[in-house]
Amino acid sequence: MKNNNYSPKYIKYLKKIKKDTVTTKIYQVLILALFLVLWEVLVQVGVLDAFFFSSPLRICTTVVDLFATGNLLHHIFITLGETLLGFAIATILGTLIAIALWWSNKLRSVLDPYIVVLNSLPKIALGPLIIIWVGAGTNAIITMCVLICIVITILSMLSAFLNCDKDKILLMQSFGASKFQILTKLILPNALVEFISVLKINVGMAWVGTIMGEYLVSKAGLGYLIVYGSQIFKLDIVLTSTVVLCLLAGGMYFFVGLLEKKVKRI
Amino acid sequence: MENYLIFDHVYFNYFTKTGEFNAINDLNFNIKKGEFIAIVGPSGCGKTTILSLVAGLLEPTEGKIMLDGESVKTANIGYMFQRDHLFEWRTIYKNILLGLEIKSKRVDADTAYIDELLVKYGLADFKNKHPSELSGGMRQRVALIRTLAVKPKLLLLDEPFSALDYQTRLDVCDDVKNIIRQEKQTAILVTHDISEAISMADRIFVLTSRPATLKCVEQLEFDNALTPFKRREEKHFSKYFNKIWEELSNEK
Repeated sequence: MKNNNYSPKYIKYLKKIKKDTVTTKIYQVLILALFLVLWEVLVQVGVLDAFFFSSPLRICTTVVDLFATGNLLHHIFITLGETLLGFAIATILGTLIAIALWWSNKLRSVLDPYIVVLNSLPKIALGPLIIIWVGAGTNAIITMCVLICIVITILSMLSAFLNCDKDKILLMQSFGASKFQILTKLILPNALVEFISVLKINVGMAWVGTIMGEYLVSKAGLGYLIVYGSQIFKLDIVLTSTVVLCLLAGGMYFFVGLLEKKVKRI
Repeated sequence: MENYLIFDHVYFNYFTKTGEFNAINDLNFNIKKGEFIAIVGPSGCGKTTILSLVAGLLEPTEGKIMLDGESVKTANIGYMFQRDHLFEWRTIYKNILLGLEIKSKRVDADTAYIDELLVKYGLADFKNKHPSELSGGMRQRVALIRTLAVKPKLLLLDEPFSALDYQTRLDVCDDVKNIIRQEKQTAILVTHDISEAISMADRIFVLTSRPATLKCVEQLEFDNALTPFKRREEKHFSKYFNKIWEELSNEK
């Protein structure tokens, strides 16, 4: 019921909700500001050594410097490209494999122990093998990224497929639906919400994969910058790259969030 | 009238790792076209198994089930569940189209029939809404129309009201019975609620506990014009209730 003559108590209630969201935002900004100021001040008065801890101002100048030489954008593009590619391959391939495992009970029970082991295995242990197999370059980084994302994609999507209500499947069968029709008309649309949450998890995982890959083998990228910076003890570069990574990962998460809102509206 | 659905010495066993269970034991009955049958029995006696057998989703271990002279495996049978199972990602209209889509025979005559049903049963205004925007009773009505849209030869109702609150339940009972009567459907209702069975059916089949077989058949004599709700006010309603109650009590 819409009623435009709100009671004073209701108006008060609305105001309180609005006030709560505003104060939350203020606190969030305040924490960041406080952290940056404290960091800068502690470095300025000499409690923290700028050599080890850098400082917000030094990070700003490093960003400007790196931009000026044209390097930073190059590194960002390389890492972003690798991450997006790995993310896309892992999500698509993982979902297809999950569909195959849903389709065939035999395949699923046969492969079950392998998937469990693959899931618990620290993928980074495969690093040296990957380098030997696909070469020390971008391919190795993308492969690492895919490996880290794909297992969780398979497992999450498969459990979403299998959790579909048995009566809904029965309903489809009572209409005489084929397995393919059950998949396309029921199982897939039913798992859409789960798919979005897999995308969210994969945003985080893909960055882990790419940066780990770049630690192992790379000539460019943010992971490379971090390793390079730490080797020559230029912590300005290390922290600058880390901050840029935060922004990129946050941005990617934001886009998945937009997608989620769009899906929820359907 | 001749027999429409025939259960001829039907046995059903199912298998688990721990053993083989006889769920249905020599079940025999006949149903005439247009009849409304209610099946009651002690809980866990295999009522839903019987529906799955009729729907052709399970195959009898022994015996034969025939519908209108053909095997139930190929027959067009409508199934209604405890919950409406409407797909949230589809509009009401698209939900109702589901059966036709699966049978991939979306011909104009069929969509015309659906439009007719929508108008007749007051759903036309909700066509483009999503299931979550409808009340529980309304959703169950949509589920029924979705089933009727494919013009099934037989309608199976598996406790279709048990997920609704009591008041809605009585309303939906009237609603569903009315629609089924108007569309001249043959229907089998499975329920554990004796009064629901008496208020809706023409005949009641009482089953034994597992392994299930037919214990007795109760022919109900009510004025045809009475709605399920009105039936509950009749004198002999409680007489039937006590009789079936006793039959079931002996089974426990």
